[in-house]
Amino acid sequence: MSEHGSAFVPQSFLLRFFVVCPLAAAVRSLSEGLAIGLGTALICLVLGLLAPPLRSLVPERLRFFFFLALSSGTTLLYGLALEYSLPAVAAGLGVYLPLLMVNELSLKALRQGTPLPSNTSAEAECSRQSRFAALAIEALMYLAFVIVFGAIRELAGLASLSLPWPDMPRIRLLPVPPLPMLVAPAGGFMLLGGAAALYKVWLRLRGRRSL
Amino acid sequence: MSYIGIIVNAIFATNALFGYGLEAGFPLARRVGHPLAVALLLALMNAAAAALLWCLRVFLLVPLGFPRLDILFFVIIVLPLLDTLTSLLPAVARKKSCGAKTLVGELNVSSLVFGIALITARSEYGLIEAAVAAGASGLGYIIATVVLDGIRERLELSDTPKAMRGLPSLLLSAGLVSMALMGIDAAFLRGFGG
Repeated sequence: MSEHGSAFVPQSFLLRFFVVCPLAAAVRSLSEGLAIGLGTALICLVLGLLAPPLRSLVPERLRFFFFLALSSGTTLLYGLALEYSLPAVAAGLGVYLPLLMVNELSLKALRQGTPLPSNTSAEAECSRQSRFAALAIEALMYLAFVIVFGAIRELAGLASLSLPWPDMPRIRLLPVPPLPMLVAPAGGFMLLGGAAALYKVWLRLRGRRSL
Repeated sequence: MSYIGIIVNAIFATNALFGYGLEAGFPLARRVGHPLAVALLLALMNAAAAALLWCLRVFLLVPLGFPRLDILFFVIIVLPLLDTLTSLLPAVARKKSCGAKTLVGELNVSSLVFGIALITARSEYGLIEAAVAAGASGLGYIIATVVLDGIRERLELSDTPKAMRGLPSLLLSAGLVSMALMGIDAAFLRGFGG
């Protein structure tokens, strides 16, 4: 096991890799980044708001499936709304739109609803509020990151920016795409690698522990 | 496309990790058993999830005119069924104390199993073809994980700039592997696999 099982031994940065890799294929433009980021933030907020009060009403055995159904219902409604308002963006995202419900951030929000409540109600309320605030901040940071990530990919890969309005034409900003590869998943992985390196340098400059 | 074509296509041309960016990283990163057993378990779970979702779509949701509800029905019907089916596996039942049951539970809600089930069930495949493609995608994911781990080991021994060590170099390598796999296209596979 020791030799053959090395791929299955926890590696902290390998785990982080798996968290960010869905972005490499899903977010290819500014509009898609906005759609994915807003969807994730919406699911997180819905679960963060509804899961704690509903937790005591749902039997423990069914809790996880109940909150997952809540998450999938929210995803479904968001998908339908997006398809109605921005059909081109919804069609471009394809299967990645339903996958929002099993996004790492959505699953994190979902798991907040499943643990047992704390001993005292005051403690539980305090913990609930702080966890919800932390989750909301994380969702907003994720939204900002995917928008910037999508914009860079679109600008470098297609030399244009598509704003998320139905009749808004694609704004051409550069005569030729400088890096067409960035639109493909391969380019997405590479851009994420560059972003991770920059983040690492920034952490080091601030004297904090690196990735 | 023949079954060989479907399998090669699912493993290489549309690899779950490098092509679609789907992941099941957290559970697979744990030491839960021999990699071959984990690979077979993942392939089996993928195939079962895809087959169940395909049946649900074709026999219930499409005739009723609600194919979009497949994600809701996946959670309400397919996930509990998948949970029950996988808990009956002898390997999982025997290794309860080693976290194999948790592995199965977390894999069920990973974007890998759900995404592959959705992609194959929504495609033009028949039932067997969908199950075969989903199972092969699971194997493709394991191969991708092993390749990445091999790259990680090599990178640890090489002299890379400080800022690029760890996650950044791994992501760049994944991009290069993904680019290499882009060279294998479906047209080639049709000629190769029939």
